[in-house]
Amino acid sequence: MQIIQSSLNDEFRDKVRAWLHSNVPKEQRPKRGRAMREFDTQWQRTQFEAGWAGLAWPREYGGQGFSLIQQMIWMQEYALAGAPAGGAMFVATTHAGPTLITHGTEAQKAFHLPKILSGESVWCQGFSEPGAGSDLAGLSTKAQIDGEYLVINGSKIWTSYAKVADYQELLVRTDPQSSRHKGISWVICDMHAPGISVRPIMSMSGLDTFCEVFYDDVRIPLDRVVGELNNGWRIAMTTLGFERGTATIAHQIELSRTVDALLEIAKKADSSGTGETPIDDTSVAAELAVLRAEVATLRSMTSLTISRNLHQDVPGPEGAIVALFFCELARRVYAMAITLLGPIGLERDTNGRDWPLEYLEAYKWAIGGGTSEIRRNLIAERVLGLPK
Amino acid sequence: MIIDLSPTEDQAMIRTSVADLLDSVLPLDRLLKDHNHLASAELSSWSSFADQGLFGLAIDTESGGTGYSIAEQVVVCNEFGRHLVSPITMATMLATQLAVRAGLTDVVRSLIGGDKRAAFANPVANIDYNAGGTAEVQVIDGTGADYIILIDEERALLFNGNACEFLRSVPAIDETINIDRLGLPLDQTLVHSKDDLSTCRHHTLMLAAYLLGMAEVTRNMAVDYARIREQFGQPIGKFQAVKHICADMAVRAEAALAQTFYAATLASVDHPNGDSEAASARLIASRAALDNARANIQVHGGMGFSAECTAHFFLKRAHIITALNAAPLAAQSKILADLEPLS
Repeated sequence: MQIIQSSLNDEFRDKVRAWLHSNVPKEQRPKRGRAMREFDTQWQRTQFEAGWAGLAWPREYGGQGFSLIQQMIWMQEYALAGAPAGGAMFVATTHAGPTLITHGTEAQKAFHLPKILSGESVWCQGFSEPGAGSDLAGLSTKAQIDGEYLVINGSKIWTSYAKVADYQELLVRTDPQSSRHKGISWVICDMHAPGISVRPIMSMSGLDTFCEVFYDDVRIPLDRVVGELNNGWRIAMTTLGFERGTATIAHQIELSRTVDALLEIAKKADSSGTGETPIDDTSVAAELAVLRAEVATLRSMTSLTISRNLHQDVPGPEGAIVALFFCELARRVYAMAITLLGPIGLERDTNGRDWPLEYLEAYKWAIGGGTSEIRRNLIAERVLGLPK
Repeated sequence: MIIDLSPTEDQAMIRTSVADLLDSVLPLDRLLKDHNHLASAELSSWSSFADQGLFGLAIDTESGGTGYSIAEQVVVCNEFGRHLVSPITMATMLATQLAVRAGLTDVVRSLIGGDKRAAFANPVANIDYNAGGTAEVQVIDGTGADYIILIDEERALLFNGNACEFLRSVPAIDETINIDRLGLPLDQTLVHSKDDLSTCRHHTLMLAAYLLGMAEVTRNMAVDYARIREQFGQPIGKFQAVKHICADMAVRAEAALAQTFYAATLASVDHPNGDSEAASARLIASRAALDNARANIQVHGGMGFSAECTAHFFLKRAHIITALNAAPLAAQSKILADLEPLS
């Protein structure tokens, strides 16, 4: 444990901070539809034009090839500047792009990578299915080979931004005789192809970025397969290994600010005129202290993961520990918010902040991208070495 | 601020040499044999600890120390926790620090050299420092201690052991620890350091590191046992109910590790957020040590409840260390204080 002092890092931070300060969009991000897509792609284009797109991507593919420490500085400053999350561009820049860089053909890379970096194309992810959630390997969307084409039939679910996406990273079963991890292929699916229909799903928070996607004889040219046919599981899994610990930085800073906001609220006298403040209640103070200690700890755990990755090439399975800690903590922080706010916490958009939305949204972390239960299995088996 | 939480070469070397020493002279199963009466095992190895420079680790070389910082001291205390070493070791480290500040060179020399030792006092009621007179405290493994050290949130006091009044011995929750009740003569302090935030911060971090060590060992014990203990024809570690207990133990240990090391790094450069971060570390590490000790007993089932397995010692010791000079309200206000942005 030591502090890394470097004037180069300091200069880099100053440069990032100055650029973000004058370029982060001032207007509210639209919550749905084309306007939302337009906002997200425009922000990507702004970053691209200033040379801030594809931070972790190699330079030969148009990325910046930043070191892990530079990526971390960028993510910290990005969150502190209140810059908008990737939104509709998230899958393209953090998942589809890196997958194509690692496994794509030259033609696939040449066509897609520039469009992703410049914010021209929006991607979504077609992994989960109604019958394959936590058990992703149980997926059954079929792809039959017909000459130079794959013919897709089936459906995908929990596909964020499918309504506004141009492409999809699609996992399909190409070998009908296969089961589980074998016989799956990773395919680039054109979301504008005939036979695709998209049904938005309203979430409990009132947002409808989730979708169900139906495929009815959708024809995809065979050259859209990434990696080899029937090798899709391995490809999907390697992409998950790109994350080197910086992904939780934005969440951590947001949670930390939320706890600070709660602290401010708790210090203000209520309207009863007694002059008493919620924080005078020792149980409120104790709960806030625990949350503050825990968000500090989340920051430290992120720092620990990044520290380990400074000294190793392949990220270890410990990342699942930070993810589990974060999703459990996020739920507790927003639950505390609703309790602390009392009647105001029941109203949306009062107090300048949609607390009910944030509270309800926080439930997704312990479900999406791996439920807490699946993460516990992963920690037990991969980190601790308990038998499967 | 960019912090690399991985051990430096020196920190890794210190850990290895301390771990090797403790493995050989203070193996955990010593506690099953003779209940470590009056820290006898520690005392018979006291000169080896001194030879490794443990009591002056964070003392600068001009004062006769090794010249490392609180970061290295935290690594050593982490190993103390893993081996359930008597807290007199940490008390002696802190006593050295206090004696250096007060310019008591003879005391410093005898503590670093292993000729003298200190023990922690733990107040049994709020102490009114202005009132003078005698304050009744518990001392932990303090029988025969040359010095008694009392640390609260902002002050640190050092007493001569023989100036304190022995009241009585009391049986403790942890049979491997001796608790005596002592009367401390508040107007006869050897050192009375007010606003001594750095000693208080170090004390907080050292206890956090000790608790972290306990959380790590109990996690490992539970996992090792879940791998070999078979019921219903398979290792119990194959059942999700047991897996998830172990996964939660891993999360708590990792959280305690990250926060303790992060806070120690800040403390090593006297960062203004150091007090808050250290208080957070102790809070998180206390919960990790207690919860993991409980979970470890549960995973061990009947064996965990028996005194023939070392699992119960971790629960008992976790209570001793979490309660030592604990001031929950003061810690709370440190955690909730305004902080400087870190980047």
